[in-house]
Amino acid sequence: MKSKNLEKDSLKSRIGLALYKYKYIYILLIPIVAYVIIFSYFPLYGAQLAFKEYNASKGIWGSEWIGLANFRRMFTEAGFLNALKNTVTISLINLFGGCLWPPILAILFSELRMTKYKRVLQVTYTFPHFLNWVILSGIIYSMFGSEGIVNAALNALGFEDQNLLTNPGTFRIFLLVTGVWKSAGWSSIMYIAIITAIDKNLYEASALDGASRIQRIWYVTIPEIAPIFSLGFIMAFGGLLSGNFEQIFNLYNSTLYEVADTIDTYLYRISFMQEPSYGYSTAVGFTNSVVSCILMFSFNALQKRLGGTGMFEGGVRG
Amino acid sequence: MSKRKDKSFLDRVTFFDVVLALILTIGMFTMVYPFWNSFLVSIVPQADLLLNPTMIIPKRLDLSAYEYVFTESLIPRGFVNSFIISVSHAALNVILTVIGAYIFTKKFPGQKVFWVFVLIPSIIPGGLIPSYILMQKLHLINNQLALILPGCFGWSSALYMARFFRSVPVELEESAKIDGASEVRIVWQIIFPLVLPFIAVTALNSFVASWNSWYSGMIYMRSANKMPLATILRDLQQAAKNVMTSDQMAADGQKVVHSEAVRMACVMTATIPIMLAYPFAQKYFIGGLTAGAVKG
Repeated sequence: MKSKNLEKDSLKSRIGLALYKYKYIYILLIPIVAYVIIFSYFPLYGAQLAFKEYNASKGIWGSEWIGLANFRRMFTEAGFLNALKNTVTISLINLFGGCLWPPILAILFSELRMTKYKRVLQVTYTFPHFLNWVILSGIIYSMFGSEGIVNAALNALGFEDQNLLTNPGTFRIFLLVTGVWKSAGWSSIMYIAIITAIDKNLYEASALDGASRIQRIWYVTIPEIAPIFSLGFIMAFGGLLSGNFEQIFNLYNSTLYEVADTIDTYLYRISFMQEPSYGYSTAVGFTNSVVSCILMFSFNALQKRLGGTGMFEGGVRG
Repeated sequence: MSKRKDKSFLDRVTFFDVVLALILTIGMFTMVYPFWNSFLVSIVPQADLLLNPTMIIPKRLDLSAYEYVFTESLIPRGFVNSFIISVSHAALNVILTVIGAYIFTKKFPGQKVFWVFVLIPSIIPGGLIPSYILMQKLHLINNQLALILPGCFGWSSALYMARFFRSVPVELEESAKIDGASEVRIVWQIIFPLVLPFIAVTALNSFVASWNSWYSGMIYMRSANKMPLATILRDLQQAAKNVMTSDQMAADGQKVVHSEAVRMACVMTATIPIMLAYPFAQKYFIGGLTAGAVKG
């Protein structure tokens, strides 16, 4: 009896002691915990709507459970299946068609000797990364529209008008090209940093052995950047379902839904344009984030198995 | 002598260098030309452009589009709104990230629980609709706080900053402790100045991300004069686009459709400040990107 009391006391005092000893940390925890509960856990709590029929007057908790009906609807809705197919297709096109440009650009940059000019070039190539797709789509529409410079130039050269903005056959390639145009310069920075860190002696030694510039790139530079490249490439598969929402949403129009409507753009339309069904929208959004999470972890695991470091280790170790 | 020989090996300008410079220059042309073309559309009389659509150097100028943008349109209002929203968002983001990063570097009872607690929602976010309902419940629809408050604490950015906190030598902290400095004083006078550059980069990135975002402005804001610049710009483009592709006319028909020149003047007004600031800010962005990579 007595010993039990003692234990209780010591537990209490241990907690008290910990609270006292770490008081600054616990005080600092308060704003973070409060923020995360409101802005991250409430939406997570709201995700239960995926299994419900939302009724605004009854609230999230009071709305009626309808089991998997929202999910079943997802797989019978032609719009969703089309969006799913497009999301994966567009991501794959961007992944395979876009992955080589940043390392190529980085190699070109680091081979260039005119230091001042290189700086000018780099500023120019990385600039579009800092503009949003609203601005860029404005510029693109003005250039490629029926009265834009592109069609004027085509006419001047004796070709017919091409409206790339409404042509379903070429739109995905159009997305790829404009996407590379916006971000390849910025993505090359990482590779440039790695190339700059390569031991200069390697280049000198290979030059003395008679290696040409091309051979030096092939045998010294490329093996050094290859690991980062493959890491990025494999990890990118984890983002297969997070399509280029901002780009597509600003560039597409209803003539292109069949080839360019992705899960995110579909989600926007069903949530805010037609008669919204919040339960169904939540089901679509939540499925997307759960599947993305699974994909991310699987490709992270695959990457580790192939001998790289996973994305989580870097942080914890650092 | 041997030094000169080395130079001739590695630094001789060859045919290769010329081709390289040529390729990169052509590339640069494709980066610059779209902006120049939009700029031309905004400052050249439309009749001139119709006559000579592929012009590079304008002969006559017509600044009426800009006059319209600055006197009649919501663009100046958008600049003010975006500035208020982005500065507030960046400030809040930095405060929470610094606090989170500091906690990440400390050992305390319940550390693991805290770690999992902040990790879970960042790998599985609740999604669009639950976030929208949250804003409804907080009565923040059509309130700029809806654009400022969300997204101010991220697990990964706190972790990223924690790395720089850890790079402060432990001895420095310990000797300060021995000298009798309190925890608060250690953070404020020793750690903080050392990690200030990384805090600045976080603030800069957060500001840019907020400045560029238009989606939340589109779904949460109702009155045009409270919207951020990017959302105002999008509405403007969208009205014209719908006419061009001739659909949804009924839905958006009531929106005013401006001439090409006015639209490009709006786009350029939004772009030029960034264009002027970017060359000076570039090294900070690059520093922020590569510091993490090299340290990791």
